[in-house]
Amino acid sequence: MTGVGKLGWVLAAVCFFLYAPIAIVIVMSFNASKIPFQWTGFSTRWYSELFANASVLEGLRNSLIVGVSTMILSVVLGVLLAIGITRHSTSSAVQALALAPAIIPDLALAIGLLALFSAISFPLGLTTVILSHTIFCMAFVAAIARGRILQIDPALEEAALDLGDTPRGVFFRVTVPSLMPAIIAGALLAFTLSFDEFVITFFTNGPSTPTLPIVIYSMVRFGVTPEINALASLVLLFSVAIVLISQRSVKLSQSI
Amino acid sequence: MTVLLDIHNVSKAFDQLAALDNVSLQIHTNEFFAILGPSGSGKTTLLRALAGFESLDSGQIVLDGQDVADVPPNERPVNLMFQSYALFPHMTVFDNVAYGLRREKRPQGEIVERVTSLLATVGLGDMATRRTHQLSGGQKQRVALARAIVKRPKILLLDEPLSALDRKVREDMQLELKRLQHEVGITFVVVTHDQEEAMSMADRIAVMDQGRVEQVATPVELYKNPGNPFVANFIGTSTLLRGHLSSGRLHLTNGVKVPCSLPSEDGAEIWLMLRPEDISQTPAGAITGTVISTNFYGPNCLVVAECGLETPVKYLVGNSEVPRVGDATKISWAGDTGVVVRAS
Repeated sequence: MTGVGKLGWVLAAVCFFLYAPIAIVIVMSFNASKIPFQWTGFSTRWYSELFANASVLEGLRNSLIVGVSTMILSVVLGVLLAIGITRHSTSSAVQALALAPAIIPDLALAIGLLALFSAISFPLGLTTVILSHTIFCMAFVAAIARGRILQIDPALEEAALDLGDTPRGVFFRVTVPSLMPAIIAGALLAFTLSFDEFVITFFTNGPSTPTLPIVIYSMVRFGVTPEINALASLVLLFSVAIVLISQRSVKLSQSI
Repeated sequence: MTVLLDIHNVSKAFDQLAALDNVSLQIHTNEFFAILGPSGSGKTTLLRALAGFESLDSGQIVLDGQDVADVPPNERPVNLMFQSYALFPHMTVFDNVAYGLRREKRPQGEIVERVTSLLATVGLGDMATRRTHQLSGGQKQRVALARAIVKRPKILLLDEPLSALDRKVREDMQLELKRLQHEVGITFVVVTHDQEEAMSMADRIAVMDQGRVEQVATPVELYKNPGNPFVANFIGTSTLLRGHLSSGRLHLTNGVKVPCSLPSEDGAEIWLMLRPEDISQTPAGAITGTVISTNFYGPNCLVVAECGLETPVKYLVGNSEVPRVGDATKISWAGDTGVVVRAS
């Protein structure tokens, strides 16, 4: 057997362990039987049951609130942070500190945030989840925006100023539109990161406002039901859609 | 001729390093003025100071009677055409050109009329709805130009306007810029490192080196009467011989004597500048040497020969008498040709 052939087996194995579980989840979500891995016929029953499940809907609502809020906050703060560390600082320590939340282990960040909220007696709930998600999502947005800022010709902003625009006008009419592909990509990334985030949410959330991942976690503790498979399939579909949109916007940006 | 822009004793240093060292210049209304110098000469810093992007350590910039040294760039009646053109990629050609007028809150009808007619003037009448990445280099430059003159600034500053263009397009644009400057009646100040560009377009040129203005003159005057050895060396091709004059001869520092009967006081140290056309290759020539390189132009050929005069001699020969590298050569020049240049 040639070397390429051996590598082909590695590739096949990787693909199998990567995609087979996903495929099984999707297939089983359409299984009529309640008993896992025993195919008795095609059914969309679990999807309709899912939409009748009050705790799933509650979790979805909370996750959307957290995801959208985190997206908006982390885009605004992340873009400003990126401008700050590229234009107004030459210190690599400042850059590393600004981008650190993206690589700090979730667990460390989660414990630290919980300790902080307790120390200042801040009541745990969706607000604390949003703040915590923003901390690390902001760093991802900043990393994406930083790459874009370094690509833009600094003369663009000078040209707008030279043509009589105010510094504020230059920011909204030239800087922000130039960063738009990074802003879209960053926003979608922030939303997806926040939407399926578990560890930090688990530590910083209050008991009365579970997000979707937390709802799923409490459901699987009693075994994987076909309903979970249906939910996981929907989350998967949703995430893939967002990734595709984000890739498209990055491609668009490269053509400009 | 009225003075439109008076640059008075302007200095600027970056980290103790003088980028502009007591620069004074006067630029006249409707003039096509060029600031020419090698890289690091301070010409771009001067241009950015005129646009308002660099603050001054000292000195004044008086534009039309008003000191603008502390006026921010968005309030100066001056526009800059950037070397990179800096066209807004998220806007159409029309929106790029209209940007300045919209900031002035002009009525929509006036904006459409002025932008449309200006686009026609620069030959882009049918490009208004294009995005800037669909344009060629020459077209981008025209958009940048239109955008910078649409507000009718008192002065248009151009930073290396032709450096990004192909040779052919560049030659067309030189003529085009000159035509446009007459047509719109705006004072142009061009910064360039390319002497050919400056010589062919400008009414007057300021030659800069190491943050100082070495000479301000017309292109002809710069070529014929350079004010110091730097200008003589920088503008055109020349052979510069250093020495002191004594009884109709120039005594070079290595002891060789060459003819020079130009009027100058005896004994003073001078530079004799000889243009290639001043020197002839002739069998009767008193100075002998060896050809070290030839540069064929077509109608004639520039020959560089080592003649033991401290510096190689550069002269022109017709295209029928081109020597080969290594050939022995004999040259001469009349004692009254060339120019005496004094060290400044």
